[in-house]
Amino acid sequence: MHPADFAIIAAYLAAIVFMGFRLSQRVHDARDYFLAGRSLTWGIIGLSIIGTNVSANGYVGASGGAYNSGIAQANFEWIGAIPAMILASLVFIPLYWRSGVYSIPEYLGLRYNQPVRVLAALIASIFAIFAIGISLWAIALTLQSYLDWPIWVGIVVMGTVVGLYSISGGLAAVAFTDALQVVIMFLGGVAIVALGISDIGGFRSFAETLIRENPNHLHVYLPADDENFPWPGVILGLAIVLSPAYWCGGQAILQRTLGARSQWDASASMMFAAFAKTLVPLLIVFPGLLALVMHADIEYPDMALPWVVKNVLPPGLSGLMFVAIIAALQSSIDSSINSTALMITRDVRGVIKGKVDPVGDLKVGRQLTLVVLLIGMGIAPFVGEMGGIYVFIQSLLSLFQGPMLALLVLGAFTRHVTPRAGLITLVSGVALSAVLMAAGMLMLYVAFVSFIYSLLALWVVSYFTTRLPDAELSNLVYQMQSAKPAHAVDPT
Amino acid sequence: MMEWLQSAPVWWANAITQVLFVLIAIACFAVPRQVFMHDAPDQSRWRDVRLWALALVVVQLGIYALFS
Repeated sequence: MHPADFAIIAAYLAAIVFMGFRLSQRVHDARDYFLAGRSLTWGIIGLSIIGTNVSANGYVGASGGAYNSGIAQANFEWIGAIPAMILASLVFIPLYWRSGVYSIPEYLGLRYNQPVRVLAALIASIFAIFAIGISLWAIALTLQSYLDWPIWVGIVVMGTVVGLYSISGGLAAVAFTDALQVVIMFLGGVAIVALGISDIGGFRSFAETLIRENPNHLHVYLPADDENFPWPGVILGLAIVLSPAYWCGGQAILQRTLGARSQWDASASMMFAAFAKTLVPLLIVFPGLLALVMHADIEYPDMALPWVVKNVLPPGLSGLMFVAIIAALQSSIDSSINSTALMITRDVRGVIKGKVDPVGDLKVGRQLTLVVLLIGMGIAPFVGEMGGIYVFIQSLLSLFQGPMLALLVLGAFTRHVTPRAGLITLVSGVALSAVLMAAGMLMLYVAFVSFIYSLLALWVVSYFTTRLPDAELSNLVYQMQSAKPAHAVDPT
Repeated sequence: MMEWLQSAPVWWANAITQVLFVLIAIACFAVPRQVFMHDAPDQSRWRDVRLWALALVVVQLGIYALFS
């Protein structure tokens, strides 16, 4: 690696740690730590949302997917994101913001009951801890391939860097560093696009070669019998279930919108993120197509991005791109440890203890952030040996999405659904998903079927159980939003 | 059911997508302006996030028409 690359990497790491320590001076209680004192502006939140969203899989895996399947990979960024982001911005974020909650499980607890809150928080936390371990492993692997660092050194160094700014500065540090990381990602992506097209002889040459050699790679939808991205699965499973569940119910994504300085900033941030999301395929899909057109000599598709970085970018810029990959991974880890610590502190421990203590929760939240990070670091070295387990865990998370979305949608749009029906639907919906998956159904279809089942079950069981009185549903149901947000009078 | 789905032509996907985005654009304006504008720093027209959503939908319609 060129000295200019090292200089860029060192400057980046120093900048984010410095930023974390500066922002730590603003943290006085749990509200400052978990919600940045409700001070974040729409631009910072929007960039931070994208930083959290673009993960290890997104960066390296999507380039490989595009190399294999073409622009159909971009469905995850377009129809698999934009409609759900608009829904989140106009309906769910105003609802969460006005109800004054810190987390999505807390909203479910108010709308249904405390067992639903604890169950949702526990499931999300367990999966988040595994995701942190996987991201740390991926970051260590990247450091090993570029710098020849042993895996354990990469895990310890990156865990320490992320821990320093996340534990000290809380959500504010996470959001500001995420924003910086996204700017770096986009700079690296634009450099790849510009230099790659220039190497090939211009955009016309790039497009003509791609169309001539791989005509199907420019079709956004693949046939219904395609084994990876069948179009009915993309629309029914991804666009209608998995994407709304992620964008309207994902704690790591939505936590920064709850830290906005106003409800307008919260809604605008998600729309701004949607504009950035529209451009994300330039960063993560284009390198895969570029490797294809340049006839990259690679063994498997996931090597497309590293090949492009190594062969297209000059010294200095390759260091910047290396930083961009590291930044993508870091921004997912920091968001996950902060949101997981929040859910364990308030939605599990807080419910069990039965009280909220803003100052005490700050101390516990910081300790739990460290514990979550250390567990993630402990899991990381073994991720390489449990590739099958990783896929299994990701699939298990998807089992939860259909029932979770049904609870959110009917809970937000109707007064009819009841607390007991919520708990029964959550448990039975996850069980149904597991059965369908064990029977060999494609995950995208499992998500859709479990969502439809959960909608019906929640609606029918609610006829036989007692619903909450209207007074308790104020600001929790779309039609019952008041002009005054709940947290305006919430002492916490 | 699954066999029927697997034989569905790709042009259905493009048509469904275009209809979906048009419906989203219409639905956006069913949300009252006051829901998200009540605490905006000012009431400028550019702060109406429904217009941002409309711009997003137009871009998506263009993308899906281009790569259909």
